[in-house]
Amino acid sequence: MYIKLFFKLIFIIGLVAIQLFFISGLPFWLRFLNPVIIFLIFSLEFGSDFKNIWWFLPIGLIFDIYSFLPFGFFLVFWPLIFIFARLMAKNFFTNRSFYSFLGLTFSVCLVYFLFLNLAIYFFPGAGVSERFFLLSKTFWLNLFFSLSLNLVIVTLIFNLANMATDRLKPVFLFKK
Amino acid sequence: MKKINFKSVSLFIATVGLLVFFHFTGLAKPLERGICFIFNPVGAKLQNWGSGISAFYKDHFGRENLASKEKSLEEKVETLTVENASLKQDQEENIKLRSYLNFFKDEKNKYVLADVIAKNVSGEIKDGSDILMINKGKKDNLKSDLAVLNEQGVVVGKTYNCEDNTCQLALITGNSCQLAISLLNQSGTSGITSGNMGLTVSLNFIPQSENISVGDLVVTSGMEDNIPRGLTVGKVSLIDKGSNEIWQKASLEPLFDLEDLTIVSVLIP
Repeated sequence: MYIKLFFKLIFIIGLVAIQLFFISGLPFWLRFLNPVIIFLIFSLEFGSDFKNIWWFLPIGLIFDIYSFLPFGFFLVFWPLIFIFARLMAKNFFTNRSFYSFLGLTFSVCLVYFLFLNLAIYFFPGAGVSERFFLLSKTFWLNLFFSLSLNLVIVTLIFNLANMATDRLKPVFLFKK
Repeated sequence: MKKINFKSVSLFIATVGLLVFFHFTGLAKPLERGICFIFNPVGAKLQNWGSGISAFYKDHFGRENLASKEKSLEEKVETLTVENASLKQDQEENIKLRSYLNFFKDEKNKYVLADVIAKNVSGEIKDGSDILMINKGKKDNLKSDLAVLNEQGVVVGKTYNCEDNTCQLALITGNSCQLAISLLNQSGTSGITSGNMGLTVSLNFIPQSENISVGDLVVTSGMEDNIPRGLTVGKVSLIDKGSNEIWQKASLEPLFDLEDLTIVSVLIP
């Protein structure tokens, strides 16, 4: 059991490193890929034990060390994202169909992006925009890239996962 | 839906609180240093790979489909521009008579090489901000407002918000990075630069009486405490006289490419 936990921790830390360092160096339109959220979506759909919130402690800690926001922000933010995603997965997107994956990805990415930009707007730091972020064209363009990219990746992984397991429902909404 | 164990939630909240408390009291420094020790080299490698893909994409699919010959010529022009700025400075200094008894030689600047490990971390891409993170910090004698150069000696930005093992850089094209500069024109015009939407650099508060031209080289003026003078910043690319105003403005063309910044040097005073 501990070996499984250890490998899971290594995997999660690897995802965080890829997001923080590798993805930030990619061409502009690819920088909105969020492997941590994608991991969250699939782990919730395959088993949504509340104890999984503890995985967001190392994620939040590493993000806080390498982030420009005040320390502690991501330690609180990532667990809240997990709680929101779990709520959505348990109450709205329950049937593990393709639509539920897309709906969950869309809602989690949207909330993540909105609240992160809100935090960036309010916390002082370099490059604070003079305009409120919702009035900025850049914000909406970035949101579009973020949602599109993560939805495409979830689609790809869903189809790959569907080949490996029977637990997913490869239908859009309902089986006829 | 399984009921949430409130004991577990309280334990989680307490753990988060403790981590934040330990950070601000300094007790978490060994843990943070350990994490940085593991992540910094990994981050630099991953950032290099990402930047490599970015550069490949730009070369093959970018709007300006540059041939490799054009790219090497551009690099040559950058190097020669820096050399030219340095020679002009030397020429001016040689002409002036030094009457002070305590004349001293300029020491070679001390610097710290650092890898760029992240750009705009955590999707914090804001209007007009270009923020990089490097893998050196306070324990390498870095602090805020130090000049950061690329491999050709061109100023790319300034440090700010230094932690023990990492430092953030604000690029000169970003909204909040300001540099005290002077132009290598006849009158040695001084001014302050500020970034413009992450694309260009503006030069503001130039008196209308000053004569500036497109192509004038811009270097640091040495008016800032920790930034020596004579470091190349860019070239004037556009001038806006603004006929009814007291000041004129100019735009500078930065002499570096953000995508190519993987290693930088930070000048230490």
